[in-house]
Amino acid sequence: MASEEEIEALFVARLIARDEGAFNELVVTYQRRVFALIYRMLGHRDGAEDLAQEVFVHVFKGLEQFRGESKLSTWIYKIAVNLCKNRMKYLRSRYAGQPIDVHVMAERSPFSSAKGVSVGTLSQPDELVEGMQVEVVVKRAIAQLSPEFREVLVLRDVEDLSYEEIVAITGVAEGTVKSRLHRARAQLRTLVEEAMSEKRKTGK
Amino acid sequence: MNEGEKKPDLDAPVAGHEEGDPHAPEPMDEDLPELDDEALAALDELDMRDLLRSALAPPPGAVAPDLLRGVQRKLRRRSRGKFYGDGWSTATSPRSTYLFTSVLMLALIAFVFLVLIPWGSGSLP
Repeated sequence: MASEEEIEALFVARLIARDEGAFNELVVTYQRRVFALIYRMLGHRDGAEDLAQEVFVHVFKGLEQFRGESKLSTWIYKIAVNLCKNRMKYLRSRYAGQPIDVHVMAERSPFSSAKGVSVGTLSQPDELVEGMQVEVVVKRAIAQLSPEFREVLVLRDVEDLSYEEIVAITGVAEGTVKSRLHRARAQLRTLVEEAMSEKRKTGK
Repeated sequence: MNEGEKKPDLDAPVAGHEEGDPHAPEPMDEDLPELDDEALAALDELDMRDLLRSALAPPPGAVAPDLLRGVQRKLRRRSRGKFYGDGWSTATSPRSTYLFTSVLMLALIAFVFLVLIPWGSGSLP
């Protein structure tokens, strides 16, 4: 029986031979994961679908450059992450100077106030609204992170990828990945705490 | 160990915290087992993950879009028809469906032909 690597090698050979049926299979197999990753990186649905299509167009165009050093999924993720980073940088430069939603406050409420609160775990309407607000706060905080920080945070904490895969996708050393992840979490925590304390003060 | 020496009772309740005493003070934080920095960091990481996942989850009921048609259209346009230029490559059903339909239609035509043209009766001119 052929191993997983052999099956993937055969599939890649079909792709490189420009087998359109094989490429259709690839799109159908990976479209959900690619779309979810882009949605999480961008933080909104607008443009995520178009960017996800662009990922597959880039995959199709760059198939000859795939050397099989990493898994096909890792290579596709790498293309998706690079396109996302480019799009985020473009959006940042385009909307630079606009006011941010989360203000810096001297007094902070503890991060624990936001822990464990999610729409899925709440039943009462008040709690539901509060949970949604927490999620909005977290989303806004993530949007304020730099593309490099958001990238490692999404890949590790949301997509659950291994450090080896993240190294292959981002192209930076494992130590740098860990350091970025640590700093990204710290920055996110600070932003969430500030926003939560702001909410408490204004009573909204 | 000598008999006179009092052995500490590890299962005994904390002083002033006997069972049933409503006025007993609450146990202090110091009485609880301490977590080291590594354990706290691991807990924080788990909380952070939960929070991130719930915040970044697609809205309830949201369905990932079907990207195939759009990708095919883009590739056809950008390759000027070199790829995905014909109907077969962009067909959404498997080829077997089209093959089966073709065979069925051929059989139907043959049947109709045989019924309408009575070979054996000699009625043909």
